[in-house]
Amino acid sequence: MSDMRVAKRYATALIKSAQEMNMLEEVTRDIQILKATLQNTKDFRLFLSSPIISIEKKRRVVAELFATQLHTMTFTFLNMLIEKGRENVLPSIITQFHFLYNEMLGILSVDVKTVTPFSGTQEKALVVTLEEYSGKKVLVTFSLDKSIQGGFIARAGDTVFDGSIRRQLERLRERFVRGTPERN
Amino acid sequence: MAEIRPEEVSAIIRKQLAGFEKEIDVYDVGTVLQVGDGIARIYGLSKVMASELVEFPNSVFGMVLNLEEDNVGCILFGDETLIREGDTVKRTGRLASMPVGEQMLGRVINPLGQPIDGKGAITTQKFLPIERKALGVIQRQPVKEPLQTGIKAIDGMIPIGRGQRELIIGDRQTGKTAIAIDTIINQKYTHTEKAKKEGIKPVYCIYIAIGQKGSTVAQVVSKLEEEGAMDFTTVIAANASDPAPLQFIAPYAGVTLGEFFRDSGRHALVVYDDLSKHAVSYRQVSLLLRRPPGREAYPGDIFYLHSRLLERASKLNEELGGGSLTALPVIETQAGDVSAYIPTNVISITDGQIYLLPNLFNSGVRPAIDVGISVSRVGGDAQIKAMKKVAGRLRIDLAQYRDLEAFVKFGSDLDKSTQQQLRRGSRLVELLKQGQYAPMTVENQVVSIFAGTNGFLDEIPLEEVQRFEREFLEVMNLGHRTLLDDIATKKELTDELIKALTEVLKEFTASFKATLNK
Repeated sequence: MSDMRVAKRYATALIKSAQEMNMLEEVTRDIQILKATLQNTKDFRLFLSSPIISIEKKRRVVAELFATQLHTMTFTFLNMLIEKGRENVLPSIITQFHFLYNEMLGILSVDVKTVTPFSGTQEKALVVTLEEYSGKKVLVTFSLDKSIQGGFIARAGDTVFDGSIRRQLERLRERFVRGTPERN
Repeated sequence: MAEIRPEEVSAIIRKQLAGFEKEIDVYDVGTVLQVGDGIARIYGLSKVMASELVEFPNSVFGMVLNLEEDNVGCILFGDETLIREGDTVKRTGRLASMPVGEQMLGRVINPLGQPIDGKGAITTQKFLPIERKALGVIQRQPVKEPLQTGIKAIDGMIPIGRGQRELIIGDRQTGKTAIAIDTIINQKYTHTEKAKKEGIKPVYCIYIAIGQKGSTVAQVVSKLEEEGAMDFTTVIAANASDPAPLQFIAPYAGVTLGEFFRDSGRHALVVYDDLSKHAVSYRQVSLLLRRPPGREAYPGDIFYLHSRLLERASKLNEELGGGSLTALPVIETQAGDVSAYIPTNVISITDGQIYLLPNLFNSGVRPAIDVGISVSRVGGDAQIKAMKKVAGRLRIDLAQYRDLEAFVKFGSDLDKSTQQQLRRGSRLVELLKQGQYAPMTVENQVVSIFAGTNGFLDEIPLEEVQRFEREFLEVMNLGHRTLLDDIATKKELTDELIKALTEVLKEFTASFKATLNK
């Protein structure tokens, strides 16, 4: 997590210059591509984080992979990272970039965990409630988690909206424990 | 045994379950990045406040000390082995606080307010934050009531008032804790009917043991119980084996409990034993949190650490109930070095100090108080008039004795008046010796110092002084009780009292001398 600070600075630089040159759309699309590549290809991940591979080699590989796919700006950014020996921070930079992008556009990204997938109306109701609560546009990503036993857990940044059965059972247990008469 | 009806049981369970409804719990979380040495670093917790309590898994609690750009530094009050990297940390939304109440009296607790004496749970109604701003000028008034320690040398020459901060400083093994414990034991008197009649209000005591051996604390507790002083005393223990964060908050927890008594118009005495170890545990926590070290590797805010603690000692004005909180911090010096960082800090914060010397202690002068450099900057106003009258002379006589002490070996070569001063001084030193756990009431102190400063001891051989005092007090308490009671209630030595006292002393000295010749 020590690369957090570094990642934040690189991400801020990228997003600011993209905004200045009016290329935010393109850069965001490129970042999505990079994110997908990183997620899907283990080799690429290992290749980037390996300190043994020389800068020259890394540049060549990156050029071959992305020269045509990415916008010049993103491509230059990637090369700069390699030049500075910060290519291993890329995953963190991508996370930070998304965070900053959402913040800039007033979007609140919310992760929702449920046991069974939400129906369309449920989803809409949740989004409306969250939008009312935060006053921001809400972008929801869903995932399934059996361990919460029912209900849902929505997490927006550091704030958790816990409506799961697991949490309610936990609270019930706490209440029972606290309610225990004193043993003297 | 009463029969348990199933329907009752299910009714109770249903009642408890009533709260089990569809409600959404909103809380803020963070993730543990690093754990170790009693501290944790957390990512997230974006809205957390400084000194807020946070909850880790397995009900370990922590307190936020550092708020940094990309992480939160936190001290842990529980077992760090129960926490792993990546665990979720929850905000509690409340500042670190301490349960307070009369129920704490007679108990031994840890700095979190949990009992550690095996006498069952403590149920209190009130929680107070352990970090509170000290009172301002308007809420206070000058110290005016005495806090009797029961020790002649202190009550006579270094008097402590209620609301004062008096430092007890000295090397190891010089009797620092003994003075503190004797003072607590002496407060037993303030809880009696007799004290009530004399207009003395009860003092509630809090003894805070920081970084001490568990066995020492147990010894103190059993002594207090034995003397019947535990009924109005709370012992807060953060032993040497407890985590440094607990030792660090211990004095704050104690003063919070003291403030509860003070703010309800009562009087509290808080003993911090000792603040050097407190400083050391704070240094540990600070360095682990990567705060920059300063002199002796203590962090830059070590002065503020102690000043904000001791500033909470105070005497409230009458509108606020006139309660008081007296602080007796203890500092252990290394080889008599009072110019080390922590001793100089605390000396400058407090309203005076009682300085204990190892060579006095070893030569049998106990309590080993160096009356030359021990001072009390405000307590004099709180001394009762009778004591002021007899002790003024005591101070002068002893000062002259110290100046001449080097000449003792010349003996009879000295002129008459010097010999007289030496004789008086050595007898007064003898008179001020006092056993441990043997506090004296103020009227007894007054008459015994009166005997010393008025020359009744001058003719008595040095080794007989203590017997003289013992027997004289016996005579006073058995045969002249009314005289003592008069001093206690009037708090003044009127001319008639002086006359009567001189009569008694003359008579007693004569009969005592008679026993010597045999």
